[in-house]
Amino acid sequence: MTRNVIKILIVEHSQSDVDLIIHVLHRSGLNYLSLVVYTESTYVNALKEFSPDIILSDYTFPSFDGKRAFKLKQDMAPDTPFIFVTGTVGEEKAAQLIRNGANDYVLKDSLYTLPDKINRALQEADDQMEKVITAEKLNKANHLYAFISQVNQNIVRVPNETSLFRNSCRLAIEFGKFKMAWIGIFNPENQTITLAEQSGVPFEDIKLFTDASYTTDEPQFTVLNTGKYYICNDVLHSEIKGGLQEYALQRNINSFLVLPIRKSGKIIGTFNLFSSEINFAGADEIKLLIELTNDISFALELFEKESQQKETDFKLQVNETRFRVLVEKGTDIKTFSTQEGNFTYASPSASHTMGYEPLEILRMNVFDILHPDEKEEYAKKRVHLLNTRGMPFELKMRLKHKNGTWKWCEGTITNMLDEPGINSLVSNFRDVSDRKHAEQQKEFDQNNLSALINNTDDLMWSVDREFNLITSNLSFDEMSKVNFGYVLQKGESILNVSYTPEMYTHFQHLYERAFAGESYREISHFQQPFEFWTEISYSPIRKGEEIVGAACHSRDITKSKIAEEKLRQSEAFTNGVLNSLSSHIAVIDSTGTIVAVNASWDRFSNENGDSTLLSTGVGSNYFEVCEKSILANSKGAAEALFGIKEVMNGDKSDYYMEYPCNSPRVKRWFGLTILKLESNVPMVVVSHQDISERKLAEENLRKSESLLKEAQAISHVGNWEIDFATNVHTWSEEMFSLFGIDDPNPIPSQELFLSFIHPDDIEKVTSDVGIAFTSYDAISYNFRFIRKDGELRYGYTERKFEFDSNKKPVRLLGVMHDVTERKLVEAEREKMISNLVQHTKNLEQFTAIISHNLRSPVAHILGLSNVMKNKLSEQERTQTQEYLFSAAAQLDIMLKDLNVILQAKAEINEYKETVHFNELVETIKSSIQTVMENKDVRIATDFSQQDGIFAIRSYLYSIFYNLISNSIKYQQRGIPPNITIRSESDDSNVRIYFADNGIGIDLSKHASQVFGLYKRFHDHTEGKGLGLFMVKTQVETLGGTIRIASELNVGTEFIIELPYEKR
Amino acid sequence: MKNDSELQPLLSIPVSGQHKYKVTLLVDDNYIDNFISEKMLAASNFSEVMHFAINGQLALDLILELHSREPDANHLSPDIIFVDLNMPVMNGMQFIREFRKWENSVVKKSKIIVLTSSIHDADQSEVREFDSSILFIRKPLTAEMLNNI
Repeated sequence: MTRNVIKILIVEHSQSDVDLIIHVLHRSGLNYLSLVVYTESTYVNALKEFSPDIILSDYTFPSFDGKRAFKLKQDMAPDTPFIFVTGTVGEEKAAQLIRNGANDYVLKDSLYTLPDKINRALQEADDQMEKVITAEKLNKANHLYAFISQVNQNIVRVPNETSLFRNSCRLAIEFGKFKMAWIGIFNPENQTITLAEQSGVPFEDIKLFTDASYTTDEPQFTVLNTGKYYICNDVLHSEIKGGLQEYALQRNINSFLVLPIRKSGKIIGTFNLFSSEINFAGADEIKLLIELTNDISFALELFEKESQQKETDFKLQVNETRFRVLVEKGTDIKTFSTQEGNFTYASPSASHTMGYEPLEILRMNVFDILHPDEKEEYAKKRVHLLNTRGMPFELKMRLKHKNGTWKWCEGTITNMLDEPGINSLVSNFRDVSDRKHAEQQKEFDQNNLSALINNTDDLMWSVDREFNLITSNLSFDEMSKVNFGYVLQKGESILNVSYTPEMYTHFQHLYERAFAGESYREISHFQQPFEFWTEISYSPIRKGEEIVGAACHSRDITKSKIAEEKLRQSEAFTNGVLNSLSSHIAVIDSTGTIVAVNASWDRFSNENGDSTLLSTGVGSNYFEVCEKSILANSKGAAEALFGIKEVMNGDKSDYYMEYPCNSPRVKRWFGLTILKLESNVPMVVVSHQDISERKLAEENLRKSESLLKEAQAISHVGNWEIDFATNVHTWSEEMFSLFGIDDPNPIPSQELFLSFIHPDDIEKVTSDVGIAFTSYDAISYNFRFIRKDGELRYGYTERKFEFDSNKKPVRLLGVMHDVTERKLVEAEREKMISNLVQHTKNLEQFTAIISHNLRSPVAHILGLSNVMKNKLSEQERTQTQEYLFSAAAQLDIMLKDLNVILQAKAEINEYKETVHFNELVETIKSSIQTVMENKDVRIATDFSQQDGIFAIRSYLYSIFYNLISNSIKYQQRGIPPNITIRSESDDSNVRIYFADNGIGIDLSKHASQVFGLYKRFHDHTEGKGLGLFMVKTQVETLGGTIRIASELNVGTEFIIELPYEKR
Repeated sequence: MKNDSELQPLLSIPVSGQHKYKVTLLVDDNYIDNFISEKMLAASNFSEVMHFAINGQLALDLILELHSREPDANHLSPDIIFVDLNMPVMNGMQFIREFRKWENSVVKKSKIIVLTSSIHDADQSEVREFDSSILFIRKPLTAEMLNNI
C-alpha cells in the first residue's frame, strides 16, 4: 500500500512528552500528520474520524490508560498498528504487551528508535493487508465463475424468457454474492424502464424500480445508447446524479454494474448488478460478466425463433377448427362414447349447452354428469342397450351443467359399437329443461292455491242449484264434523243437516238469492249449539250465461261481536267511576260547548253560585265562562283558556297548571289538567282538582327551607343525603354554592361529588367512603376540592347512617363544611415554622463550611511557621516565605468572600424590577469582552418565549455572570466555549437553561457537593468554588430552585426555575 | 494549583542519615501542605525515601509500580502512608478502600494516617466506620506529631 502522508494518533497526557515525540518524528523526515489525545472520548472519536495509520500510546496517564487504549483499538480498528511509548514499562511487561498483540514498544529514553519502529509496524500491516486482499480477490472470482456456470446451465433448461430472467437474478444473489440484481426492459417511446425480474431488492423498494423513467444523464440511458456496459466502483465518490446515489448509499450499495441485454442484435434492456463492496469489478470481473450477458442474449434469440415456429402450428389448427364448426352446425347435443361411457367426441353444442370446454368433455364419463337419482335406472337401461345393436333407445335424464345446475335432456342413444369407423355409442339429445320447468311451475301454482284455501280459519264452499255440495275447503270439513257430526261429502245436500226448520228456510232463502244472481253479505247470529256470529258472503257461480250454483265464504266474527258488547258494558262502568271522583271533570268540544260533566263538576257548580247550571252545565259554553273570568281578573283564567285551545288544536297532548281560587272563607288552590280526548272530533277533558292541602304544606316547607338555606350560606355548610331505597341523592342549595356551580344545578350524584375532589385526594376519599359502607359507622374527614372556577379549597365532611327498625341502613346523611380559611391560616403558620427551621439549618451548615474552609489557610500559616524554625537553605527559606504570603492572601480573600455571602443572605428585601434577559446577557458580554475574544467564546440566546422577569436585578446579574464565567472557566481543552441560554415559562414558573460544551462534572461522584462552598472538581482549573454557592444562595433568595445535569467531557446544563411573579 | 506538580505526578526524594522508617508515601493535592509535610518529615529524619502523589489514583499507580520492581522483597513499598481526604480524581476514602483490597493480596501492609485540615468533617466518620484503627492527624504536620508515630 502506498501512502502520501502517514496519519499518526498520539495518546499522551504530558505536554513535554508530546513535544519530545513530535520532535523525533519531525527530525526523522517522515511525511506525517499527527493528532494528540489524552481522554477516552476524544481517543474513540479520533479512531473513528481521523482513522490513523498507526497509534503511539503512553502506558500510564491519569484520565485513562494505555491498556484500555489498546483494547479499544482492537475492537474498533484491529488492523491498525499500535506502539507503546512509555517511560514506566518494564522489559517483562513489554514482552507481555507484544504477546497480547501490540506491535512494539519504545521507551521514552530511547525515542530515537521510534521512526524505524513506525516504519516496520506499517510494513507489517501492509503485508498483512495485501494477503487479505489477494484472498478476497480469489474468493470473488470463484463466486463469479459459479454464477456464470449456473446461468449457462439454466439457459439449457428454462422454457422461456421470463424464467431465464428470474433465475439469472436469483443466481446473481445466490452464487455471485451480489446484494441486488434486477433486469429492466426499455420502453424507448416514453423513456421508461419496466422491471422484468429482480432478486434481493427489498420489498418496499420494488415500486422504485417499476416503470421508472430515465433521463439522459443516467447509466441506463448511456447503456441503451452506446451498447457498452456501465461501471461504478465507488458510489460515494462518483458523479452519479440524483436519486440513484442517495438510494445506493442508503442501502449500503457501493459498486454497481449495468450490462446491456440484446435480442436479435437490438438492445432491449439491462442486467443490473449491485454490490456492497467498494471496487467490486476490475477488468477481469467485467470481462466475465459481459460474457454472461452475451450468453443470455443468445438464449433470447433462441426463444424468439422457437416462438415463431409455434405460431405457424397454431394457424394450421385454427383452419381445421373452422372446418369442424361448419360440419357440426346444429343445436342438438351429439356425442360418441366408448362401451364404458367415456366420451370420445362431443359436438360444440354439447359444450354450449352443458358449459364444459370441448376438451374437458373428452376427459369425462357419462356417469360423471348424470343425476345421482337416475344413475341406477340408467345403469339398468345400459345393460339392455349394450346387448342391442343399431336400435335407438329413447331416454330422458338430468345432466349436470358446469355451473352445478341440472339440465333436463331428452333424446336417443344407439349402440354402434360394431359399426366400422364409428365403434361407439352414439347419442343425440336435446335440452328440454325449459319445458320441464314450465310443467313444474304449473304444479307448484296449483299446490300453492290449495294451500291458501286450506290454510285459513274461514270456511269456503260451493253448492249447485239442487243445494248439493260441489267443493269445500278443510276448515269447512272441520266445521261440518263438529256441527253436523260427520264430514259432508261432495254431492250431499247442504240443507239436510241438523238444522232447525227456521234455519233450513233461512239458509235456503239465502242460497236462492245468489242463484238469482245477487252477490251480497249477510251476518247471522246463532245461539245454538253455542253462541256464535258469522258473516257469510254469497256469490253466484256462472257457466256462460247460466247460473249453476253459489260460492260461499264464511268468516267467524263471534269474538269481535262479544268485544263490542263488553265495551258497551264498560261505558256504564266508566261513568260510575267518573261520578265518584272528587275532581271536577268536563268534556268540551272545539266550540267550547260542554258535552259531558261528572257529578263532582255539577256539585261544585251548585256550591259556587251557579245553581241553575246555566253557565257551567252541559250545553253551556266553557270558553265564555273563561272569558268572563278574565274580565273579572280571576287569577289563571287566561292561562287556562290558552291551555285548553292549545290541547284542542293538537299543539300539545296535555296541559297542567295550578291556580289559586280563594273563596271568601278559605285559601284554596286548584290543579287544572287538560287532556285531549281520543275521538273522531276534537274534544278535550277539563279536570279541576282541589290541591289546597298540598299547597299549604309546600308553603310551610318552603319557608323553613329558605331559613335553612340562609343559615347554610352564612356558615358555608352544605348538607346532603342519599336514600338507599331509591338511590336518589339530594343536595342542599349551599352544596352547589360550595362547589361554585351556578344554575342550572346538575343532578347530584357520587360522581358529581368526586369530580370536584382534588385528584390527589380522590383515592383517600373513596377509600374512606368504602370503609364507611362496610361498617356503617359515622365518619368525618378532610379533603381538598377544586371549585368550578378552578379555585382550590379545603373541605371537611361528616356523615352518618340512618337505620330502620331492622338495623338496616336506609339513608346516609352528611354535611360539608368549607374550611379553607382555617386551613390557610394553619398552612401559613407551618410555613413560617419550616422557614425558621430551614434558616437555622442553613446557619449551622454555613458555620460548618466557614470553620472548615478558614481552617485550611490557618493550618498553612501554622505549618509554614514551624518549617521556618528548621535549618533551611536560602532557596528553601525564600520558598517558605512565598508560601506564607500566599496562605495569608488566601485567608484574606476568604474573609472578603465571606462578607459577600453574608451580605447576599441579608439583602432579602431589595427593590424588584422587570429585568430583561437579553439586555442582561449583552451587559455581561461587554464586561468580559476581552476574555470572550481571547477564548473565542460563543453565546447563543433564545428568550423568544419569555424575555424577562420581575425580580432583583443585582441577583439576576450575579446568577447570569457566575454561570457564564463558570462555563468559560471549565472549557474543554482546545475547544472554544459554546454557551446556550434559553428561557421558557408556564403559568407559575419561569425556567432558564444554561448549557455549555465544557468539561462537565461527574455527578455520580460529586452531585451532593456541586453547590457547596469552595468545591472544585477538576485538578487543572483555577477557581475558588464560590460562584455556584453564590448562585444557589441567590436563586433560593428569589424563591427559586436550581438543578444541574452534566456529563464528563460533554458539557453541563443548569436549570433555574423562578416563580413567575407578575408586577 | 501549580502546573509543574501536574506534569510531575510522582516525586521520590531519597534522604540520607539514620531514619525511623524506610519508605513514606504522602498523598495530598495541596502544594503548600506538601511543602510543609516534606520539610517536617525531612527535619525529623522520618524515613529514608519519601514518595509524593497528588491524588489517590496516582498513589495506587505508584504503589503498584514500586511493587513490580521487586515483587518478593517488598523493600520498596511504603511503611507509612499519609493521606488527605479531599482530592480530585480519586479521594482519600476511595484510595483507602482500593489500597486495603491489594494490601491483603498484593503488597505489603502499610500504616495509614489520615491528614485533615479540620477535625469536624463528614468524610472522617466514613473512614472511622471503615477502619477504626486508622490514625487522624490535624494539619499542619509538626515534629511532635511525627515523634509520636
